[in-house]
Amino acid sequence: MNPQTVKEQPARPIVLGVENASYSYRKDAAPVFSGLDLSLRAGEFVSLVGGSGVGKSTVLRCLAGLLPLDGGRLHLDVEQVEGSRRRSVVFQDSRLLPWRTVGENIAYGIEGLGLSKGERSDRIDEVLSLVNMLGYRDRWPSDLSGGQSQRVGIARALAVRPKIVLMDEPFSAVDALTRRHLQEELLGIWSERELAVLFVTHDIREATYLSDRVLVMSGSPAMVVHDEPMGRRSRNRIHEDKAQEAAAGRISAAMGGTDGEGI
Amino acid sequence: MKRMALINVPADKTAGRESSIQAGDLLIHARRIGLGLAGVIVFVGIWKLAFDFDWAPRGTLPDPSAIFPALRGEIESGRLFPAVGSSLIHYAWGLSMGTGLGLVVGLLAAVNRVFDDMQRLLARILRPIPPLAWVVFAIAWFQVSHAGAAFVISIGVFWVNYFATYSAVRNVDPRFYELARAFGRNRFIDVTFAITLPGAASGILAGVRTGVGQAWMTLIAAELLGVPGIGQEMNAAAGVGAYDAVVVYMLIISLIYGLMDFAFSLGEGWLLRWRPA
Repeated sequence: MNPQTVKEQPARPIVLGVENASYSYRKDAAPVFSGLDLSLRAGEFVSLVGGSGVGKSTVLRCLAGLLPLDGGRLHLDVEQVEGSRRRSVVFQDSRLLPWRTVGENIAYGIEGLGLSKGERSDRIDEVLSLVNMLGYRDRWPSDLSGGQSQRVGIARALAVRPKIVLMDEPFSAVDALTRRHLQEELLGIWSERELAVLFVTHDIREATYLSDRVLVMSGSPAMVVHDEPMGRRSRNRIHEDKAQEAAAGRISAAMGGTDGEGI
Repeated sequence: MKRMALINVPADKTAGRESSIQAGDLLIHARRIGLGLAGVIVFVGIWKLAFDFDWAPRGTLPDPSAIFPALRGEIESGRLFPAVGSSLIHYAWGLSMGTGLGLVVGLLAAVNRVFDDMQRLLARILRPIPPLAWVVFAIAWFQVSHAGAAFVISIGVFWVNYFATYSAVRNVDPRFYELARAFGRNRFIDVTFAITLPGAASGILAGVRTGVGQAWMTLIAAELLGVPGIGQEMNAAAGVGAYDAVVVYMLIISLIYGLMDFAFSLGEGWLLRWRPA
């Protein structure tokens, strides 16, 4: 399937989103965000950018069901298929369990899904092959580099065959070259698996490079202050593409011209 | 080996370097063992001097050279092995009860706020009471029996494991719990076995290992009250001035503890094999 034609179809259903959402860490504290609207459509790659501490990761945690909203509504409109989870999460720190091997870490995500041992094993090999880590199944996380750990984190998220993947600055701790490789791999996996991805990043260039749409969060309490649609066509010509640069400029301006890397 | 493969070094050179590293390691090991033995020899030498020159009241310090004959005597008289066997029964029961309870109570206190608040004051009241203070109740409840000795031993072991488990569980990285929730694995038992216990394993095992030593310390004292075992044999030997036999039993304790600690360290190394070397 050609992802580029898919992306141009306008009426894809919303699979995950929040409406008029608010959240604060304590009852007496100022809300992190308030009146927040955000949606993610099936197969769509959306990046959420914003300055440090603006609450991007908090939004992601609310969308992942890890934090309860104080107000507003959360939509999750994906069919629950047996042997899968509707959404899964890739964390910034890869978060592999150090006492489990690579294969066992991936198994952790799928152990509760009612799969047989053989099915689990096949699925582990399948996702390890997707992230080019097939030979690492029996390694300990302490033997892996940062980029390899993050690949396993992605494989673990994919093993549950989600329709939605929430990624919290997954490449922020790896070197530039590895980051580039991981971005390419992610795009390949995204289009192959028709995933809806919400990608939190503070790097505007990464956001414009990867996304169908870039949302900018700003303010206190934070809101989505800008929604920038990105053209898919120019993904591989980011450096030459004036439209992309202009989009990045608008995103940076919406962020208040601060904290955006690569501009 | 993985790193060796990544660096493009000719195989023969790598092998040469490896063997020279091994030779260096061997030398360090040999030196350490040699110095260790030298320390023991110096100690025995001082002991011998103390015996020859009566530094201790005459008759209370045995001649080091009398220890091996005394060992043979204890074996031939049929006292040694039954005493060791009996002590091991107290030890095994006391250690396993104290460890098991300490683990469970420490774990529950660390993960359940209500239980934690309920037990905190109680723990402060009971903790300072030395295990041997419970001997009175051990005798009252269990008479002079194996169960009484095991009970006293278990108290000391309990506290060691309780504190170690409590603090280890409290220090498990909370991000792992978030991971469990992200993958829908919220059930208490599941989280306990998949996250809490492995995450706290290092600290818990350190507590268990301390308990293995603590149990021996209380064991001898508990047996001094008359329960058959090494402690009772030591008491009996001291009563007839056979201090060489007392030293035999002391060394037997050291030997058994050393073997157990070694076995434990092997088990611990296997359980924590995921830790970076």
